[in-house]
Amino acid sequence: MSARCGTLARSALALALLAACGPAPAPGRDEATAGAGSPGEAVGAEALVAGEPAFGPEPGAPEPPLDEQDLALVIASERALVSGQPEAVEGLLAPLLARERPPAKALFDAAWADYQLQRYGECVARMQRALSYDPSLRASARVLGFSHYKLGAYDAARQAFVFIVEARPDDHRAWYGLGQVELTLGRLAQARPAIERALALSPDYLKARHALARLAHAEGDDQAALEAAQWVLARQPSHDEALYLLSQVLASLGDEQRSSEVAQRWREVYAARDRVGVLQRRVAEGEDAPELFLAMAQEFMLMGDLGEARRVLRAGLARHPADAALQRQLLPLLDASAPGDDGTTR
Amino acid sequence: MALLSALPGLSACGADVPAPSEPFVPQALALAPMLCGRSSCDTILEVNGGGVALFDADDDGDLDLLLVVPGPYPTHADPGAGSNRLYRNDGDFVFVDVTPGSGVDVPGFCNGVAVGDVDRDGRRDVYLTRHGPNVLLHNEGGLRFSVVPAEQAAAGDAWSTSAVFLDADLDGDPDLYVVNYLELDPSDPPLDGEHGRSCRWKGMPVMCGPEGLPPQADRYYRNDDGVLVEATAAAGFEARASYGLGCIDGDFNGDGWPDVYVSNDSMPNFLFSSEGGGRVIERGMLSGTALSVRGREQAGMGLAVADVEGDGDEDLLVTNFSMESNALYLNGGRGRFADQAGPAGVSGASLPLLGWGAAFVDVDHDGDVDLITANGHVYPQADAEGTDTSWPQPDLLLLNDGAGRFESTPWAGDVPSVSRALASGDLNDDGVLDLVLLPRAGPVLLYRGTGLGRPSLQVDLAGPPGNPDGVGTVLRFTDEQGTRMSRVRVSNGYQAVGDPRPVFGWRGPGTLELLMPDGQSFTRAVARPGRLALSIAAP
Repeated sequence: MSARCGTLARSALALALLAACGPAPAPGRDEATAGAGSPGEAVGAEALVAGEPAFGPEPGAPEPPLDEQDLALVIASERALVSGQPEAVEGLLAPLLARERPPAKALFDAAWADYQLQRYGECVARMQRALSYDPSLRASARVLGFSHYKLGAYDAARQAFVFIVEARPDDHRAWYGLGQVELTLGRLAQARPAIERALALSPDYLKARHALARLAHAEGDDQAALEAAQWVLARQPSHDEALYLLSQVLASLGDEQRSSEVAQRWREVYAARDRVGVLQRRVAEGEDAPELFLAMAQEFMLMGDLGEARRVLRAGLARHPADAALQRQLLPLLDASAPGDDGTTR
Repeated sequence: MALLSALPGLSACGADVPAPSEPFVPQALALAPMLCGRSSCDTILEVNGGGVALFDADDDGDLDLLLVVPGPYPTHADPGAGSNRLYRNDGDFVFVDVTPGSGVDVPGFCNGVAVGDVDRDGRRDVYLTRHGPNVLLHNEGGLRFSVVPAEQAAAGDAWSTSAVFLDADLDGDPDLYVVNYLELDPSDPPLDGEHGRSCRWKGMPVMCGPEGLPPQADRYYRNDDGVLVEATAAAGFEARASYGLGCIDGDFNGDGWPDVYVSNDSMPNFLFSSEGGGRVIERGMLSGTALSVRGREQAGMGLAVADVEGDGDEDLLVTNFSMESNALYLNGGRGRFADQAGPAGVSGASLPLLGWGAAFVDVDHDGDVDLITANGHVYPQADAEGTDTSWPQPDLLLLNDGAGRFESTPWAGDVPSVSRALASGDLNDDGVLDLVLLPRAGPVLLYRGTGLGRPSLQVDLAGPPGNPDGVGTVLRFTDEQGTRMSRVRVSNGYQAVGDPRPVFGWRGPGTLELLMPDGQSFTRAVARPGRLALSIAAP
């Protein structure tokens, strides 16, 4: 997803464009945000009712079951989350959150919304409260780990991820989160198995592949770093972090010429993102001309992100179904290979 | 080169006084308060705060103190009045306000300061950055300064923040690099909701900028016989116009020629790497110092340079926005760096904070450099719920374990405040570095360093006219435990000038090697702690 699309999450006027940007939440500077996935993946409505196997400490008072009315609010909040409208969650859950003892699931979903809105401290507080009421939710609480990570509480982040991967060994995002914490702390020997596990579970997981490239570079294996970074860029040519890493790897390998070329590419992507950001702000502020969507799509095409271009054009067409220019631009893209459409983009 | 004198050592601690348990003690000092526009901080012009210079203005051997005070918001200011203050150091933390008649209180919205002997008369001149033309003040002696005509004074017409004097072409006089920020008309500042602007942070309306406002390109001025001549392109300092905030000199590629590092707000940082002969090339991206470890531009602000892990080369610290880690670029040699803020323990501590001035100081005199950062948010709205940060913030002290791993420790300065620039210097000449911390607005804070009562070796160089402090000289002190290096510099990175005299925590006798900017070197044995005064002026 576009690095800057997430900034639109704060404006109701931008919801249509958010759809174009994909469900990834808050600002694109935040890789970990997208890495957290969404709560719906981990705990669906079925799990809300049935609960999950309990992990962690014994709860105090047992969590009472949700009645029908409460459940409807929780499901509505989850729909808002997975459709990229975290700002709606607080309002939806307000009647439940106002209770002396809110339902754990309401706190859980509100914490996910906080995370997507970059309110990491609030996310941690709510999630911890939810887990104290219903420890069975802990195994789904990836955002607790990612929030600790964003706040710089790396030990707490590690603990959260370790708990999840022990409880859910197939959670590739949690393995990635664990690997990311270890990589940040320079614990390369601990980072490697976590990142490799994430990739074993989800071979096309772009973020984990990029983390593998970073890990290899940190380990001094620049050939492996080169291959992993190129793998990422083959699927997402505008992946600015991979571009930067590739420029570093090439410089480290002594190929300053190619390093400079890749750095220049990073600058072009950076400039294009800035221009997209300006266009997004105009849409967020109420402008609704088809030309804005067209211009945005063209920027994404310049960046090589056909998937993003396609999403923006579709969003434009959703608002201007008869616009010929948008249709003309979209048609050739429908046949083009766009790795961004397969869910592997950030 | 002549070695003129080696003064008897001055012990850093009194023999009969119990060793202090804190590295810094608040020191009362009646200085003028800082003022940077309105208390409401409505525009980006009012965010960055002022500057400070600790330098020997009257050539009497101690550090005097110049406060660069932006003053009232420009449209509210008396156009003929200035706010800067000059204080004479009378010893033992007695500072006398000598501003009236000194000439430092030039009008205008001043921000930062650089110090260098531009005309090679042996006296330190002062360069003030402002919103609008900058000012070069010629030191007339006797704590009197005169304004140098703009056409000789690198005045420019931008909003300048930081600046640094360095002898980029090694011809014996200081050249000047000036960092510029962005275009802004104080009479028509950008405001949220006006002209279609949306200036939001975490969903709240906040002051606008820097994004969306035109950045301004930095400038480099070559010193031609005391006249500062614009030579940005000619010397290779040309780069994309950016929101520049900090700059510092160093020899990051180890070739003996000065380099310049520039921190840019929300844009890639620059590393102007020397190519010899006074020419540089911008190698921020290639060197690994332009972006975060994740390849993202950050809100680069303050800078500090030191050999963090004791491997003989200089490393770089850059302070950044809240929820952005400060960057610690460790020098891997051959002009290549890697951001090791995470493994070094700098990242976690800095994430909730918005950093400004920074300094590497051996606060406990244990032989390694510790790190101090001044912090405070740009938005008063940061105090709202759910921001994960705050408007006033604690200033951080991180202790180095000797191997380049840092840990945050409580200290006298960790009371929340809205800090900006920071300068370190031995104000009372006891061989221990003290700190001056500037708030955006309000009382200036001074912390007396104690060094935990442990001794130090302080090296006081007397250089030739044009370089009276020996800036650019590299010192390597080798004792039984190894070799430590320090480079003489006066830039404190962000709108500040600090003490040029390197201080090494004393670990025992050793050998001091000096490598001077002209390539000459000499060594001498050092048997005891104290101040070592050396002349490196040619006979």
